[in-house]
Amino acid sequence: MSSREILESGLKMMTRIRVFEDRVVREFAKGEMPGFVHTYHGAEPVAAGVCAHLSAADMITSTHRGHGHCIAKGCDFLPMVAELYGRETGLCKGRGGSMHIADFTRGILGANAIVGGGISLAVGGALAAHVLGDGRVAVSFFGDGAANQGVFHEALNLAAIWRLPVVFVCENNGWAESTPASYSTSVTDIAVRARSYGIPGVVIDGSDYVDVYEKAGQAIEMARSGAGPTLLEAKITRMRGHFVGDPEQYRSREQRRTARAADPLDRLRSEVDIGGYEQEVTAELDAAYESALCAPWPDPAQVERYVLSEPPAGPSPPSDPPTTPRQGSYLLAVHEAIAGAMRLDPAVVVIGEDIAGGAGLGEPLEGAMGGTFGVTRGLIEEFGPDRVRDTPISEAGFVGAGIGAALAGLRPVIDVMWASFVPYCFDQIFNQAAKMRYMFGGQTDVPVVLRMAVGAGLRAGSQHSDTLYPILAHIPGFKVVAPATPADAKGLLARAIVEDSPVVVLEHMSLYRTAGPLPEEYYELPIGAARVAVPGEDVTLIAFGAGVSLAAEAAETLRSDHGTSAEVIDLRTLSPLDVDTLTASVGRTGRAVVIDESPPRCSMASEIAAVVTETAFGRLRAPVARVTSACSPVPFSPPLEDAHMPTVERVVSSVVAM
Amino acid sequence: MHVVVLPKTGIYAGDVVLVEWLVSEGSQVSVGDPIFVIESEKVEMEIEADVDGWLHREADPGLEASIGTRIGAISATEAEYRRIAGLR
Repeated sequence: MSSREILESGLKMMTRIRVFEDRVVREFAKGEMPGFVHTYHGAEPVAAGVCAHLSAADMITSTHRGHGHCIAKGCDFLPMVAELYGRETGLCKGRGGSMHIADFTRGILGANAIVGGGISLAVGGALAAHVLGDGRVAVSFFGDGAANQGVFHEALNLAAIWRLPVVFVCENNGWAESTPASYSTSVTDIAVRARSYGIPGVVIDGSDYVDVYEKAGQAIEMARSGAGPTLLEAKITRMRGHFVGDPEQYRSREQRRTARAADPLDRLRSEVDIGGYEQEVTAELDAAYESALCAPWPDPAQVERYVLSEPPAGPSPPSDPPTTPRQGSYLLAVHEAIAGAMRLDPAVVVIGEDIAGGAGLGEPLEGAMGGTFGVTRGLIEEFGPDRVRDTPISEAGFVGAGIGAALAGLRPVIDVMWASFVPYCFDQIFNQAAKMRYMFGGQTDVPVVLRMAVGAGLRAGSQHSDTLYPILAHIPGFKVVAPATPADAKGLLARAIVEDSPVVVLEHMSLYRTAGPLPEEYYELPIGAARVAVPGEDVTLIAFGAGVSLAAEAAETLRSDHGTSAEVIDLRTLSPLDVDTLTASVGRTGRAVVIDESPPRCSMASEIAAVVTETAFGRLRAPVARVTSACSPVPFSPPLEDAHMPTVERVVSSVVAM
Repeated sequence: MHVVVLPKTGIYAGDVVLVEWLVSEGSQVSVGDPIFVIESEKVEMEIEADVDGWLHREADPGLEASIGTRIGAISATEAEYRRIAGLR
């Protein structure tokens, strides 16, 4: 393109954005647009100048102020407007709204209402592009407020050490909502923070389309050529308030006037003539509004649609593992599931702290560790460092990157190490992975597996012993499994990896060294199917994970000492619950005890007690009993820790008391 | 002609009150000029003009009505204002 054509197309794109946003301001005031909206006034050169260098396959992550990014990446007005009004014909079928617009056909991996939420996702998109070698780049747009989030720093470090094809674009409008950057940010130029990570940091005049176009072009070219990431900081003026209708008490009238007048379109308007383009765009937008406002609402009966992905193609696997004379440990089972899945599908990658161990040292020490528990030992030798990727201790960064990679073509198996570390990456799990498919109206699957070690009993103290069972099972958008045996650990993890929904796999630490039948071949077991571990008649003991062997022991004691026949149900999956199997068993026995190593309040035991009370109330002959851990953090001292946990004796006495 | 409404100013979607006009009938206003005050959720807020032009006031202070209710108009030209205001 000639320089004139570049300027013309730049001004046209900025005009498209401005016309759209001016209309949003006017229409929002009328009250029919639900919720609240944030407009892109003043930042137009940034989206336009950056996206001018991107193809539809290139990826972006956007923000709550993201209409401009979507338009610059090629979104049509009609499905955008329909989304703002929550209509079924919207880009996200009305499930997302202004702050969660996504268009996966155009590489828009979603606008994010969590400040900084998209940065690690973009790193993941770039990781997928790198591993798949397909030449795509990822661009993350975020505000100056996000540069004070920990995940910003984690993401930059990750992208730098892995030299990923990603460009970080900080749109610095000087305000994080109502807090000025001069107060909240330790440096005047956020770009200097790039130095901490050894990557280029470039300040751009974000009101100057040409400056954005040139510097973004260089950064994107660098990323695409394999030279690694760049942090661009575009200085812009937020012409309007934080949200439409913001009274802006934090700026004086004079400051507001100055901001309103700082129109970055003026510079190009004086240089190039785009004729009647604004009228054309206005007519296009008029038509979009007319059509969007007549579009149907989503059907309220479909409120739970798009939460989970469709199950993998083909028949559901048998619910029992193949029979085998072979014995193997739970650790080996997990290892074999991962290795088997990696052999079957080159998109399966493993990422996490120390999962190779000694990454970068070279042979023979590299990979000698194979994770804290040795589960992934040997994988780096077979599959190489691209697919077996050690990470820094950056949970928000690498879990976010794994989720982003899942949006972009990989099937990451993320090793979170201990469940107690989940709070560091809870945004990525809770707000991103779990919600994306739903918020984006089913446009994308999030085929990611999060493995983590759970549970007490190893004298590991409060911050290495949590279970998080009910916390994770509470979240819509995930499946959660807690296998009790080596054979189940292998089959359920293999299934988790081929599932298109995100799956959390909770592995109890006390089980890793246990052994049992372990079929040699690759096989899958269905998620959501419980099994009868011990058949019985008088009472149902409902357990999962390490609780299953405890329940089986209690059943044996009940039989030998009390003449009571107890049935043990191994749930295997915590979400979704196999309600049919629970109901059938409790309906037959009339009594139920739930064993759950979580603290009692709002535990899995509480949920299961409520479910069987609803479904089998008429058959219950006693209140459902819960045997949980104490309502305390997990203590260190052995007598305290022993007192904290469910025991066989407590299960037996709860049955005897019925 | 730009319609002036009782605006939605955030996530609140209930009725709002027109507390007072800050400019007189027929005045010329510019983008960013505060033109009236509303009360929404017990908080008073000045609302600024979105466009330049001549203001015609169509509702009286004290009006309590739903968001989106028309309370006036801003005309791009004085002639248009005079027509809308029924002058001449």
